[in-house]
Amino acid sequence: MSKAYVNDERHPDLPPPASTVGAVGWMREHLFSSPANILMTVVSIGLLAYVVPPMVSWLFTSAVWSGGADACRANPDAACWTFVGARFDQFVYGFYEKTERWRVDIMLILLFAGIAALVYEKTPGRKWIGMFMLIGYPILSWIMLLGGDWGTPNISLYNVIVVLLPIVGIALLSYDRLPSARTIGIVLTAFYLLAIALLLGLTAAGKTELWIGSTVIYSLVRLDTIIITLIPFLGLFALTKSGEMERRGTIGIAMLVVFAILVLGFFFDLPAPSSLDMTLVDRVVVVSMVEVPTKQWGGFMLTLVIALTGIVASLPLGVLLALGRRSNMPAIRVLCVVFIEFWRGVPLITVLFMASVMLPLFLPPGVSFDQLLRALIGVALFSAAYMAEVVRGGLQAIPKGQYEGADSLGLTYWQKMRLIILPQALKIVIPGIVNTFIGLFKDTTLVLIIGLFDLLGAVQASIADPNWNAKSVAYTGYVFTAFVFWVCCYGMSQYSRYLERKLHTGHKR
Amino acid sequence: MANANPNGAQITDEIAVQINGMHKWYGEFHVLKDINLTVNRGERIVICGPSGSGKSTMIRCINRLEEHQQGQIIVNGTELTSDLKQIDAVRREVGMCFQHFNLFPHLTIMENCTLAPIWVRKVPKKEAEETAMKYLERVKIPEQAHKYPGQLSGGQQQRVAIARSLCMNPEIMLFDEPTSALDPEMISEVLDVMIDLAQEGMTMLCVTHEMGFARKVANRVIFMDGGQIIEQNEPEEFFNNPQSERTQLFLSQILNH
Repeated sequence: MSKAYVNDERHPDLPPPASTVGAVGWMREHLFSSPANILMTVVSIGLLAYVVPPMVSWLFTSAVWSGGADACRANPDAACWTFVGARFDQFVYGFYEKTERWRVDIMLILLFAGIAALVYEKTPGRKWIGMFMLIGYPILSWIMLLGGDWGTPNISLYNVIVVLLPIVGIALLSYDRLPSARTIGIVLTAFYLLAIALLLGLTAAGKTELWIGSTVIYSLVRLDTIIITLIPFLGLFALTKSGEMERRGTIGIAMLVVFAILVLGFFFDLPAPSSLDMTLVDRVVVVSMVEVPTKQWGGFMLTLVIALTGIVASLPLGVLLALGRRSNMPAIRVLCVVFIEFWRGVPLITVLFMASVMLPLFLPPGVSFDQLLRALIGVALFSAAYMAEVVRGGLQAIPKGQYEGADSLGLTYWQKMRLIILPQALKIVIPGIVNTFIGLFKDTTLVLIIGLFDLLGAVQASIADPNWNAKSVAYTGYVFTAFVFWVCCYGMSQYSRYLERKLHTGHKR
Repeated sequence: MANANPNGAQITDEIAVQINGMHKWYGEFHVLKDINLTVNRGERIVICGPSGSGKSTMIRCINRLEEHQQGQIIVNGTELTSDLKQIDAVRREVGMCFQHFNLFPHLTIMENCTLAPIWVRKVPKKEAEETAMKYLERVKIPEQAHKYPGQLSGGQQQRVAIARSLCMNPEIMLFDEPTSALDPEMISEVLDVMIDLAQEGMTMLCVTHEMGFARKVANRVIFMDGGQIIEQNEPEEFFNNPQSERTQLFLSQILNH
């Protein structure tokens, strides 16, 4: 009894008992761990045995894979896949002009290629592809899918310079680490003065256009156009002196956005303020395609258009709304709360009805915009409100210490949100965000009630076709629709789980 | 104690922090009552007191993590008002370490250290990384630079937090109970870094109960209770010859076990 038991050697690591590892161990643990578990296992196997064989038979073995409607009528108790095959084009494109469907194909291929490139981590230039998919792709799709004439005004060299001068100038000056900003400012101002002098001189000489051969190099520009673009440029130029570096960047970016909108407006022929309406010689049509009005859009393509617009628009809008709702500024907070609660309190069907029937009543006569566009805006705002609440949940889960840590380093509000808070908050709410996306994707079927034929609408329209009146046709159509939706939603869900795992950087404090 | 400041010439003023008649309320509760404090450049001040005495609140007022309602706080010659620009200007020059570190868990140690210099000071990335590495070496964890905070021990995280603040080249450092959330084994590694910093002449305000640290580096120890500064003195005097009864009681409680 004099000596206590002491381990004076290191005990070797032993393998675990055989019954707890491998297939046997797994089955013991998951299938037969208790009497209740054993019972459930047996019942489940029974249920599967009852359900699976008839399902396989209906879907595959006795299904009609070839032939026409008659084959399906002859075999009413099995899937009628020939129906899906025969109507596949309609399911994908709706009533889109047959000869123009290649445009949809191109956009679909681009979309899937883009998504694949983004999902695969090692794609070179993923950031740029992402930017293209978010900004360029929607514009390109609108042009490609809608068709019609797209072009630029036939601007003379002089016009181009007058338009580019402020854009280049502002872009340069808003870069706050630009060396010799003042010199560049002076050079650009000199160009401006030259442009004005040229305009005044040629106008005084009675010339409105100058041609070299068949190219127009000068055409009259309204003086106020130049002056309006000159003022913001000079403002920025003035700021270079006072050393207001940060303001310069913000103001500059804001101005560039305004200019971009004006230039885009030009391109898209949107009504611009008359003072910015430069005198045009003519229009150069760059792309000319048959116009396919949105009324003819349909099928899976329409489902994608609505769902993707909603997804792409709702996340940034939702983030802004969520930040607004947590803002210290009462006016912004109230505005955001009212917006969110309004859209959340209204069923999507009502939103769609309002957008398609009531909105035109509020617009001035003569102004109307596309039915689909209205539905898109309705869906985007509706899902933005839901997204805002999801994001707010994430914002609230971030400990106060993170805000204080960012504050103590001197980060501004937007830097703090963008670099510290949102990356963490959005990561937490990935499941909620994807949940909203999936909900949105499935809710697109509701556009049926305002007369747009999405995938479900297209399938339903095909089922009603008297040539295909067989008992199994409707079932097959709906099973097919369900399967397509399931594949898309399950894909999103899997990707979100993958993202969660990837972004997990250990437990946080 | 006029110490050379690494930023050189721009500092002419000898006073780093000046607080005049400052009051603060949380709703109805009067947390800070008539605080008057002058901190000279290069001075190291330890603030102690029972919990709820307002010591953390006071130093958090210095970089406006808490807003004061009355009185005046002047940091580096800039008065703290509701003007966001002034607040940002002060925060750029004042580093802070928290009880719970408040590292950014989604960023690596390196990114934690370079984020503010890059975005706030507009330092080029490469230069910011070199500076960060220098300070990480100084707190003796350069090898952890590419890990995430969640993979580090508490003491390592606090040292990263100190390095992160130093990367902004601050003139004043605030420490809000930097060792109270740490395991006993890790306290000394953090204190060593703080002592090192003090010896280089950094202006420091530390809320801490590490009395050994106070004796070793502080120029002045401040005792707070009930939202007021009860007593302030040089460390030797403070510990050996406390004046007020409240201070005596406090010292006897924390030193006698």
